[in-house]
Amino acid sequence: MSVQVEQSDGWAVARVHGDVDVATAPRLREQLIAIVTGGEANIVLDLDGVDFLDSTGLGVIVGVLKRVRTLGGDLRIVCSRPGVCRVFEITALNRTLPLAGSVADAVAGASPAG
Amino acid sequence: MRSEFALEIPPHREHLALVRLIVGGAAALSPVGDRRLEDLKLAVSEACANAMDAQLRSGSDAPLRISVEVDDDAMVVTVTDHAGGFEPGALDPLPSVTDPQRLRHERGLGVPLMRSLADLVTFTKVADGTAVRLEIRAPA
Repeated sequence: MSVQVEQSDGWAVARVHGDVDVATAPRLREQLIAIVTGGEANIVLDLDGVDFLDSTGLGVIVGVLKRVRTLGGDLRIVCSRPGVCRVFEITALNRTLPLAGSVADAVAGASPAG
Repeated sequence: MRSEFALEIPPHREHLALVRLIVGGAAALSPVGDRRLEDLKLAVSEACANAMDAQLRSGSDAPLRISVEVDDDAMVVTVTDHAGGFEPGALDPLPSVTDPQRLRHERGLGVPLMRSLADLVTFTKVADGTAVRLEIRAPA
């Protein structure tokens, strides 16, 4: 699992590659929290390079979502791989955290209510 | 075709990717695998992660046993640990996975996910641990 971070229109875009499971999720958490503590509260998490996502990975995403929303920011998810999207759908997390088809769509998305 | 095999793996998280690779490969032996591969991989990975956590807590470093049975109609994977036993009913109650309140809880999604992904999940107490049996059938 690896994470690359770049900037796009005021958003920190974190592109994740590989498997996010209970073995690698702690590293994802560390890297996302480093973005937040570095002063970025608006994050796009691009999961199109992710081959596998488990419940621990979802937990990390939910934790970061809560953290950035507390800071007045937002977390947006890019996910178009059916296997990975399915995890969000089963848990209904996609209702709280809509999935965008691309980074451009995620950045262009309407600001969340509240 | 029908295939049955079992493997034993060290109860360490670094081996989860290997388990998924093997189980994913086994799924290719069944027509069920084509459409339910992701469900099987995730359910098995969650079961193994829970078993590894339980063994870590119990202090046992004995290998997990993973048995795989696939045929044309179903795939069954049973994960057996040596953690001394686990009662899913004794878990702290958490809101339903589809309840927005659920977002307050970062852990504990594994068992509900397994129940959502597999057609049948059973937990059985065995000699020194728990066997979790995950059954995934062909879509109706």
